Amino acid sequence: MADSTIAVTSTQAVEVHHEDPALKHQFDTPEQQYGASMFGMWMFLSTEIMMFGGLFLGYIVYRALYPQAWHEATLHQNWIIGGINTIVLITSSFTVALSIYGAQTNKKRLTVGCLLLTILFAFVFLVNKYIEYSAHYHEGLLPGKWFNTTEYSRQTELFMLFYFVMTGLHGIHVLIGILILSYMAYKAWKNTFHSGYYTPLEVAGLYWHFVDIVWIFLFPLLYLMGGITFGGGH
Amino acid sequence: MTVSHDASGEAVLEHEENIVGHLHHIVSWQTYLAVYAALLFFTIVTVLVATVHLGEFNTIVALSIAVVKMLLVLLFFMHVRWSGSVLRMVVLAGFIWFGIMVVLTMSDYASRHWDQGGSAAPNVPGVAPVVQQVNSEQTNH
Repeated sequence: MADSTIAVTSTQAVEVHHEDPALKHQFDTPEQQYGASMFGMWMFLSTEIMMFGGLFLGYIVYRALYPQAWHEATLHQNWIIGGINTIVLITSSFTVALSIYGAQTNKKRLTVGCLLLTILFAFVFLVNKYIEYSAHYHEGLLPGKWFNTTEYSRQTELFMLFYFVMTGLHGIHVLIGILILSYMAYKAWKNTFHSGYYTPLEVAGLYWHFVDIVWIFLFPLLYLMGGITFGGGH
Repeated sequence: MTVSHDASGEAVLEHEENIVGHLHHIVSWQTYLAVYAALLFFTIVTVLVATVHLGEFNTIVALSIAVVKMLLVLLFFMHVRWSGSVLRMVVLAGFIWFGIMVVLTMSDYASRHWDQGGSAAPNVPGVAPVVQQVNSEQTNH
């Protein structure tokens, strides 16, 4: 009797294998396929931690070497735009999480709508970043030949170099995120995702949340370290 | 471990769930909303704390809040709370290697100038200390 039950179970497994178009042939079960995707994405995110980690380490080292200059350089940042961008990115993380919930519960309009909202927030973030960058350029805070060495110290220039490289690399990640999320919105619109299969959406969500986490650290490190005052514009 | 005589297929599934997490674990939108509210709350707190002058304590508070916000995103938005042991190991590995990199590098910077009075660098703002720094390191080594 025991043997016959096992035989029935394995037959069912084979039938599921053939019925599920999302299951690639190299995987035995949807669980295995899902696990491989999650494992691979987290491995990639670990390399991302190390890439941004190198920049964070450089920031920490030079902050330890030049605490006074680091303190003053932060005052040149517009913390209001930085704060708005923090809220924008956190909101976009929320909408990505909701889009996965929509896929899990077969709510297609929720999934597509939340993905489009996320893309909109990503564009708002980049527009704010552009406003900040152009302000830095006009104030002579762009490192290199544009830098106003008579008004600011060379160590401020070093801080601004870290600022532009860190926010620039993060901005490139936001741009790539827009492309990925647009493709996901298209796939969701084409009914690719449902309660039984939404792995690409979840992987894209992991990427977007990671971009959010990087900004969660960039905001206090680049905008708030020197202290801020309301109405003072700093 | 109880392996019943007719559950060999399920046993395999449970094992895979244990290492990578549940395949179709649905987190409710109420949970996401609560986490979102908490993230907004901590963002406002970190801005408010920055308006108060606490010296070096400002940095500690700001980074602590950032770590709490990161954990909220990791555990709930990125579903690590419901993931299995192998995934958690990969997540931890990234942060542990980053920690090793920072701790080893900073221990070098913190101890390199022990012969010059224990300070990592002269706390003088301006251009001159950079040049001094480079020169003193060249003569030392």
